[in-house]
Amino acid sequence: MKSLSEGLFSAYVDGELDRKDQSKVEAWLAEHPEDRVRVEDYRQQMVQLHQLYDDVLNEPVPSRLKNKPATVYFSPQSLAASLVLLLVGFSTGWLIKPETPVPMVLMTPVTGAFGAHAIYTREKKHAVEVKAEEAHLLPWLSKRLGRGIASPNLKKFGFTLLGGRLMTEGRKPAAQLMYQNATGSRLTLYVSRGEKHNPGSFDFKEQDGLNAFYWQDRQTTFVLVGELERSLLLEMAESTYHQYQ
Amino acid sequence: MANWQAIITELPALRRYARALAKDVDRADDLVQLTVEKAVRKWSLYSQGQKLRPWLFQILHNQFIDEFRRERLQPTALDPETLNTKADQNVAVTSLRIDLEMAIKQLSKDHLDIFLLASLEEFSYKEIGKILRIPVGTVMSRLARAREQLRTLMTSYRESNTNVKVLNQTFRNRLTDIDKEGGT
Repeated sequence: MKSLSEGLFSAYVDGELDRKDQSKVEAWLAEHPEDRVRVEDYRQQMVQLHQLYDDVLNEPVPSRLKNKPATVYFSPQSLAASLVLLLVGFSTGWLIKPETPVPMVLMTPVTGAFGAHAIYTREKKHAVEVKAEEAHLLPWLSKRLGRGIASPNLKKFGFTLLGGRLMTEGRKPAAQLMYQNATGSRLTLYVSRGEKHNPGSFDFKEQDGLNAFYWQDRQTTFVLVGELERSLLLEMAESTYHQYQ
Repeated sequence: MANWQAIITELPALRRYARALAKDVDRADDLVQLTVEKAVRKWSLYSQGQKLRPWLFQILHNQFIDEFRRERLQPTALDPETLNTKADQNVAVTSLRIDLEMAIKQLSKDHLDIFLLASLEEFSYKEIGKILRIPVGTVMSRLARAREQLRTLMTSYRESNTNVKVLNQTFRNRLTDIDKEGGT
């Protein structure tokens, strides 16, 4: 028999050979002590390697590695996939901790959206400034915000547009669209324009029993707020995002 | 399917691999941190049904290669004086481990990488092929070359350690002789 390749001895040690090659190697080793030494050396390399580095497994993991990176950034194209990621994250019980740092640029629209939601969804007669039936609602908001404002269709989730209002966020204009379902539950989409926004960021925030998904598209921030299940709100956020593309 | 908790679970193994690759604790943890950040950013590319562990190791491997290219990291040889001290400890197991530690520092990054993935992390050849983006046949032959190279290196260290021990013994004997001569 000719000499076997070293690849076979190495694969033998790793248990990567099929039965036929394994018997071939074993038969060879029975008659070739120098290759038995080789195989034993390979095994010793593994044992010693573990002795060198296995202690790392028992070290406490530094906290800087255990903190989830605060914001998930991605291109708009991968947004849908990342929405799934968020859903998965939540469905397995992970919650963003209150102390998770949120980039300052996101604070204002999100805080504004929470505040506006809390104040206006409580109103019975004056929930909106301009009702959905009035044709000038969207052109008016679009004009004031300097970008096209559409009302996403959320009927498949049971929500219809009540109307909207113009708001201020600091010195800038912002818009709020309000939706309602058959049980009277309300949902708001807050849209505001800013300067140095990070494109394609997507995140979730919970505050005072309200849930919000927010994302950015160039200079515009969208915040969808509701007293709804995260997973349902996420589906609506995804739908809204797609309708705006 | 994977989530943040699943990544946390893999942190110790990622740190072990990074430690062996980068040799320096801080640099190794930097690699792990970059890996984790990238994993979160690239999550949309992670497909369901895919194993999480090889995917994370692939990211870590790529980070290492990037850093290697950027900084032209060279495997650092140990200080010869440290070596002699360590070799002189005369504890068989310890000295073997030091031999291995020295030897893996001499491996090319391709050989080091594949040796660690197979022998330390015990990935299958198929998984290693995916991590390194090479065919399984190449995994087998490259790994065999890495192990043979380690054998050669370790044999030469063993011989030089023996030489050091012989020299030390000669030196000690000589000192004893001098003491004796001085005493008389």
